[in-house]
Amino acid sequence: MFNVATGGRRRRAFCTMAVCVAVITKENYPLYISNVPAANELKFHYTVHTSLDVVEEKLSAVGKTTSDLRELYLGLLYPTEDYKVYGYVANTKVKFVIVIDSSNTSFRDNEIRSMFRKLHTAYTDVMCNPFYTPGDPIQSKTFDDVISSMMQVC
Amino acid sequence: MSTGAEERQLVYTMENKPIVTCAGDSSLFSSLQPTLVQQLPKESVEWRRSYGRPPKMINLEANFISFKEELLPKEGSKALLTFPFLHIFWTDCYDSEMYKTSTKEEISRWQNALRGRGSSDWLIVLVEVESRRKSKPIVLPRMAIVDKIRNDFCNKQNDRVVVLNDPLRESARAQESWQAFLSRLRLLLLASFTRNLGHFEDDMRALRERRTNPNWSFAHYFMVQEELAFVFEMLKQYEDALVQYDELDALFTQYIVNHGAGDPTEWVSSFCHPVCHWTGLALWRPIDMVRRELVQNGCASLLDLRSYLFSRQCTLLLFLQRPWEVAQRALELLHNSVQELHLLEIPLPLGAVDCWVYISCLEVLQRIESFCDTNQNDMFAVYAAGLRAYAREKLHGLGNLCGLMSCKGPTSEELNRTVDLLAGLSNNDTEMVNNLNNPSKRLREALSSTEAFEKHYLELSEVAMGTYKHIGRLRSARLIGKELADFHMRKCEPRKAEGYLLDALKTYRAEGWSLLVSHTRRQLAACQSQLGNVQTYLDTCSLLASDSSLEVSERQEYCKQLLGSSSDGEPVSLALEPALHLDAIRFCPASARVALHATLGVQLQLTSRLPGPITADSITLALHLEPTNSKNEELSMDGDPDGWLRLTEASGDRALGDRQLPILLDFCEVHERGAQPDSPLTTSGVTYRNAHLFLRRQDSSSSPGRTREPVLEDTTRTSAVCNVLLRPGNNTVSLPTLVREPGLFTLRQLCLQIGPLQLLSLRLQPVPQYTVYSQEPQLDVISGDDLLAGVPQELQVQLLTGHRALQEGEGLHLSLPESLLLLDSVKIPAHVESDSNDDIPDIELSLELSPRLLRVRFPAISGYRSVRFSLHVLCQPPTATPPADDLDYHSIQDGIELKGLVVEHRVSIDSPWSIYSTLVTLAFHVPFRVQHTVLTAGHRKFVQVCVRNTCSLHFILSRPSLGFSMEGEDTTLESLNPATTTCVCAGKNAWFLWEINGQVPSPVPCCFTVAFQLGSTTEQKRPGTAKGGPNEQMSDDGEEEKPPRHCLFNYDFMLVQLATLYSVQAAVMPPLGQEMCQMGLLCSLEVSITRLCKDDPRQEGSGSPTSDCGEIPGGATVQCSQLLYKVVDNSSNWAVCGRSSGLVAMPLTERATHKLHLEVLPLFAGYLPLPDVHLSKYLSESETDEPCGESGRTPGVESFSTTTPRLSQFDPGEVYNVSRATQVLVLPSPDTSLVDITVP
Repeated sequence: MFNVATGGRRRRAFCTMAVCVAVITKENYPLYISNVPAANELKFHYTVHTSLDVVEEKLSAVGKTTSDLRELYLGLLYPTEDYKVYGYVANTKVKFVIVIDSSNTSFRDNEIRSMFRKLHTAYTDVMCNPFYTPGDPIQSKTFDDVISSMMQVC
Repeated sequence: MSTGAEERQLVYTMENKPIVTCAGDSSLFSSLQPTLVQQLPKESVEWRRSYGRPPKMINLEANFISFKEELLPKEGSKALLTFPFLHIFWTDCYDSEMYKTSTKEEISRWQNALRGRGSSDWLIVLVEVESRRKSKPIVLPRMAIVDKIRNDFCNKQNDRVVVLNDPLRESARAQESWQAFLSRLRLLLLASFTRNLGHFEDDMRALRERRTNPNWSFAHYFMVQEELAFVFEMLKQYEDALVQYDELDALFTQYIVNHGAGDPTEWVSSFCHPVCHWTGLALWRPIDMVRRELVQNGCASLLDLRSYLFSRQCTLLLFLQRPWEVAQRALELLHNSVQELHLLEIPLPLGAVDCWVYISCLEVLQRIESFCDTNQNDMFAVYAAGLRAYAREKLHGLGNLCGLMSCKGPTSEELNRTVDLLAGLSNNDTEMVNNLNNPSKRLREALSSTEAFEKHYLELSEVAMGTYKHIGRLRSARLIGKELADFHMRKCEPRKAEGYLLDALKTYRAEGWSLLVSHTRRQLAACQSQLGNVQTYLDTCSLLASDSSLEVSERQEYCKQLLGSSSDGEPVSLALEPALHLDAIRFCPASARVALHATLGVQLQLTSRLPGPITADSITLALHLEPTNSKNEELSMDGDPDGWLRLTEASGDRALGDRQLPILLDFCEVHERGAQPDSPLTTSGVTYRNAHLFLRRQDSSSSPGRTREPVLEDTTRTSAVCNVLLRPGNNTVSLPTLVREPGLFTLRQLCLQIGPLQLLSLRLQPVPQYTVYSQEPQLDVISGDDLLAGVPQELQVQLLTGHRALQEGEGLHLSLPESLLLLDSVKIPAHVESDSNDDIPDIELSLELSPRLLRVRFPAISGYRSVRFSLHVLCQPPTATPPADDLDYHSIQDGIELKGLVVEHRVSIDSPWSIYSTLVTLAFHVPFRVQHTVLTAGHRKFVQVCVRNTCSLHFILSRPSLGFSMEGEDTTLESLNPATTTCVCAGKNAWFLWEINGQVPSPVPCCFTVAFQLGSTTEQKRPGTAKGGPNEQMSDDGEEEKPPRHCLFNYDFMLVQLATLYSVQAAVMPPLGQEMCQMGLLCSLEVSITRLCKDDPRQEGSGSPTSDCGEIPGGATVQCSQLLYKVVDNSSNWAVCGRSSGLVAMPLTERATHKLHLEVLPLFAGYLPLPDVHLSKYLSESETDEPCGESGRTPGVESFSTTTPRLSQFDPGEVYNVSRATQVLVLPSPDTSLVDITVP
């Protein structure tokens, strides 16, 4: 609404992109979870797992109205004091969840969308690998690289 | 806005309306004011907005106050609430005089005052009252005053004067003029709004643009924009009012962000002061004047500003009937505020934020609940749940900080902290204090004691969980449940905690979140440990110890717990899974069929998931025995190529997310037959072995930890091994089993005993089974397809030792019949086989042959072996005449036949394991069939013997001999056979001939003997001829240098030889004058019957000479035997003309001849055989009483005379037909066109 002049130096915390990226199957078990402060792994697992509630809620709400033309991006699933959780559901009902630090206010919705698209593409690449068994946890260096590029500190 | 007090007064009243001042005749206005106030808002007008904002319909209201000079805004004043938007001058002047004298003056002064303040929004209302005019009929035109006013004041603004006709009367005209007035009033008001608000907004924007100035004051700007918001609110334009606050909010937020990001602004630092009050939101009042004042004076804290801003937004949202948006925004606000506090690094006592958030959440909830029923509204419930969860989280944090969650109570430090927090909650607001449900009061109460805290906390948690469950967010509810469990654990109430943990665990397990499962399980372990429930605790320990996602040290600790439970001594049974997993089972031998008393190896592949090596006291397999029927059904076990039978994962734990189907389903075919082995197929299909895993109900299992608890199976039959060290990873354990019972064994369960701890597997799937069979010793004599008599034959004997091992020297006793010759010497080789296909060296058997008894001695042979050895025997061909039932053909063919002879020998075998003898019947076939014939040539007699080879082998016959059984006869037999040997191929005949010299008594027994041996070409056809055996002479190999062994074949028969009585000679003579016979011409058949011997020996024997005589001329005195001749031509070559048969009396003298003359007609041309001449004896009446067995027994002879005289056939050899097979040439008839030629 306002073009308040921003500028100058920024704090480091602002530059962290995603703090946690998760890929969850149709059956709601995790295929891949990666988070940046590795110590908080458990907390992120709980956060991502809880976010499935909202994902399911949004999916069922969508199903009622328009069945075929579905927006894959679900938007902000729920904010917590520390994190913002965003969701994205592929057509195969594979869920992608990205958690972003709440202190990171510089994020635009479009950036989140493009991150999800990137994630989706990377996931599709994993799926196209003939040596990958669908349903197994993702163990792919390429995929790891994509994820770490999303979570890296700029 | 002249003074703060005045403004405060104004704001408080809230029933703000746009101010319209009224000047002029105040009494006149007073009389009209009620109608005006009532009528003005009745109709809405369209408000066209500037800046492209959409037009709106608006119902105008106004606050009419009397005009005062002070009311006019001073120069530079930005106040809008007190701004008079319109000035109205009321007059009812109807007299131009009066107008000139006073009214004009008044208006002018009023206008000047207005103009002086730059106000251009005015209206002059001229009220005309009919009654007054009637009472004072004035000539002056009525419109004059209006026109005058217009002329004087309205400089081209004619719409600024309105005439109101008789406003207090109820007339159509009055109504009309009211409407006109009102609409004019509204339009002018709107125009004034537009203009003045536009000005204000422009000023405001200008002010905002100056925000980069160092002196720019946010507080001032805030007040200015809020003024606008107030006006919009006053105009009931809540949406617009809300926009103002939202803009302020955004501006503020952006500044805070920028400040935090290192772009400091001076005024923002005023919000960085330490916060000393955290009383939370106060939403009960429309305007929180205390906070507003703080904001205005620039001494508000961040929380104050946020609280105030939100309370205003909340008020407006509630006006807009959007309570859920309040809740939604509240959550955002709270999160955001907390972030901002961090960002600005505002010093706060620990827990103050939590207090603020907690109170705010409850305040928002209460405010909304007072507005609408939250439980009815799902849309709201979503946000309410978030708020409640957030409040709960904060209360949890507070409880932690203040030491209210431990069962020991708070420490002094924590008490100090509580006091500090309570200080920040002190509230002077009496209205809030009086509110019973005041969140702040509740918080103070909760912080006062652990009991109160517990009550509040549990209450709030229950509500939050309930709300989450209500809206279907089970996972969120579970998370709260886990926190509650945590709380109860701290309160040392593990019993209450367990349920929550189990619920959570169930959810995480169902969705396969292993990390969460591990974490929850750890908590559960701690809980169960406190509860002292050994079974469940150890169960959880087992799960944790085998959880690969945990640290090894931690797992070892749990493993220690698991194994250390032994100190209690109480036996505990746990599931084998997941600590250990039985992957596969292998039987040795792989066929899973073993003989009784043999050893069966069972190998187990056990995967240990425990962190360290463990020593199992024993590993036991529980076996289940099903007695099988003697038929050994093939067990269908499809294992690996290595023989490992893979067991399915029956574990409940590993089946994370187990509702999904695996990618490959392991289907197998199923066939079902009836009870009988050869009954038809009843069903067939495809089944999936683990279907039960998918088909079972998911929710029915009461215990979330385990789907099925293992039950100790029947352990009456087990296979065990002791002291096994199991390392982490794969282990192979061998269980040697000595099988003592026959039957079908099913491995049911694996049980590991570690101290008192018993790890039990579920029933093993798919069912591993092995069969134990028990077999009695069995002896079989496998004779070849055909045993031949007279030829050395090989008897194969097979001995299955079964469960009985043979001792050294034990053996078989074979009793042989006399005619069965054993050809073997003392040692024979034997071949030994076993089921396991091991190579077992051949052994030697020793034979002891005493007359008619053969002892076969074995070396020591273990059980379940098959011993094969061969015996060579020779069956003497039978010398006796064939039994009567073999003589079927005799009457058909002349001569005797030895046909299809089978010599049966019974061999009885005595074995050491049985008191009964085994009887074996050996059937030897005689290879030859012999026929003999007596041939006659005149007086001479010959014996012809035909030997027919009936088997498929070739034989060489030599040294045929024929002799009479009786000695001392004059008769000799002269052999006409060549001296060489004769080869008889399969199915062929050999012929031998002897001439009988001299008269033999008939019948006489004869004996035909021929030596035979197998032909060399047939060597390879002989089955099972032992090579290199000890009995070389046995073999009939023609290339052998040793003389081949001959066997004699005897054939006994009765030779019936009769002397030739008559010879018959026939000749066909051409007709007279012809050289040759010719077709169609009668020829003469000359038959001459000659008696060759003196008398008929049989008639001699009978002793009654033939008395027939006399009929034949010239032989009246001579004794005659009467013969019947008959000329028959069976081939229809001849037509016999005249008598074809007749009686002939032959004198009983040698060389007596009788000639017959017959006429025959050749029917065909060519060489024709002569017609046959048959002779038969004619027996007259006197001879009929004589029994004539010979003729009676001869079939095929038709009796000519069925009365007294009879015919009797000659025996073969008694009549010799000299002209047999003679042919005569018959020429075709010369003159016929058709020539038939028969070429014989």
